[in-house]
Amino acid sequence: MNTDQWSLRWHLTAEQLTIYARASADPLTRASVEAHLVHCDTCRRSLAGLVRPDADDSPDPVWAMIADGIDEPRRRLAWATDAVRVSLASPALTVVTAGLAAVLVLGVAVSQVLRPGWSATVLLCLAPLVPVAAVSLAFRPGADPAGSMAAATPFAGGRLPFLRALIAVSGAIAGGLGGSVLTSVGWRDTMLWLLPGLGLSACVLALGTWFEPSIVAGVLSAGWAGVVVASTRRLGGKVMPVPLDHFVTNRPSGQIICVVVIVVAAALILLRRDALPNWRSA
Amino acid sequence: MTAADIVFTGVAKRFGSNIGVEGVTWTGGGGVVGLLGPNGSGKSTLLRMVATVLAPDEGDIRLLGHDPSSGAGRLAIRRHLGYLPQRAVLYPGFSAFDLVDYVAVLKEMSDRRVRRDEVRRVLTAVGLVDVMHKRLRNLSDGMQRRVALAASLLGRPKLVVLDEPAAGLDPSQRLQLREVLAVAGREATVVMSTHHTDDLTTLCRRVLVLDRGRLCFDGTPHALAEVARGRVWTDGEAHPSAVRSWVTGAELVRNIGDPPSGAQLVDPTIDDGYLLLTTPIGVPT
Repeated sequence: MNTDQWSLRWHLTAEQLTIYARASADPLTRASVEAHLVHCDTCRRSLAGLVRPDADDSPDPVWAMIADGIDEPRRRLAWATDAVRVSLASPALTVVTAGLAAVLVLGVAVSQVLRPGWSATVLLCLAPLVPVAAVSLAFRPGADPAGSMAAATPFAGGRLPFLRALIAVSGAIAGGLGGSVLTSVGWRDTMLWLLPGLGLSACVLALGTWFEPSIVAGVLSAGWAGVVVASTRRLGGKVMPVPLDHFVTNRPSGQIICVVVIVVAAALILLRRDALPNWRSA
Repeated sequence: MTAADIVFTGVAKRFGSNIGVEGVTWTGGGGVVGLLGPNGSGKSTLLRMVATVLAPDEGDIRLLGHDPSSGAGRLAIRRHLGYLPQRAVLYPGFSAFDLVDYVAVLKEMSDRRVRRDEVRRVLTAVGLVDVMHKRLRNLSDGMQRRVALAASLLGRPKLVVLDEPAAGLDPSQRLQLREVLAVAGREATVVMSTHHTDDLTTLCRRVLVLDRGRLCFDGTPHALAEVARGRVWTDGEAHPSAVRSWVTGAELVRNIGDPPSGAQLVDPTIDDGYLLLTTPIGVPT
């Protein structure tokens, strides 16, 4: 079969040519049409009558698609919304949160080997502080890939630091859960560190609308470490680890206080969302 | 773009015991406005307030008709704002395209096709389209500066704030920068700080001079030069009555200050006017 014989067997319909000329054909149809056009002078002439070179200044959609494919940023998640994508686009925050979570798990593991009785105390002391540190970092201009340029964009007005803080807390919680596996705290007593961790993180966000978040985080972290140290006991001149049964966040009253703190802080964050650090002191 | 895009009324900002800016009252807009001043005179502080990333301690600011002290006002301003900070620290692992595209997302350009076209437009405008897929760590400081400049021009903002955009650029890149800013200045109010007075004469309709936090001059580049009219002379040596003296290329000493009788007066330049305004009287150098 020569080309002319092949091309004479059938021709593209006017509708197919029109759809192709408007660049609205699906990929399969487009490929079929192009395969036919290679061999068929008649259809090429028909198509030429439909396509007016000056009718449209926009680039060829195929080339535009190729250019988009080349330009597609490598580290973006195709499924994610813009909000999630920009929230995850902070290498500094990701690395530090992962690093803190790793230090937490490693610290608990090392203490489990060296001083098994103290591993739960190490977890209770450190686990709530990882999300606190991550949240304070989320507010720093250095956490953003575009540095302080990002602070002057519409996204910076509340959405970005809060979204980043939420993501950082999620990463830190994963580290805390990893540490829990290694200690006597275990899965069932996760609330021992999770509730104070969420409460302290919420306080950093809320008080960060008045004061520098890193200073708030430092003060609250020191306070929490003090609570854990004060909960250790001395027996016969020897310091004993924190007793989990009587630890402050294992009591209903302690847990209620944590929940109240979280609710009040969330309300303050909502009310004072305009008073963000990047406007007050950046 | 209006003549009152930026309105400062009695604005002050302090950092502890240090004065950032003090008592700045200024209304401006339209075209390119140049900001001159010695290091530490408050230029960056003033520009950060125009860029809505710093709140004043005292006074009132209106930008593009909105109040930046409210969240809604800041959002409305930032939708029409481009900002190049003095130290634009960019993540070195991103390519130029990725970084500008990321800033475009932050600027709420949600349509992917429109956003990509705009990213290519601004990178082309600053002459980086050939290297836009290189990672920033592989670009020179001048190129990284231009990447940040490109990001500040995204979306054709009505108000563009540039803190020393020419820093780190070679002479050829500075010429290209002037072309970019001249185009931007036709559509927007561009406020830029610089230490290059020749940029002011070629670009700016208006010049502000800040000294120790206070606005000490507001006028045209020509008027800034005229400040030193009758107070610039050349001589064979530095004169004791001059507030500043320096050797020129012709091995003459150029003096500014109160000329002695019979002094050979010369036409003043912007540099002369600027130095006269910002040199403390009685401190000859």
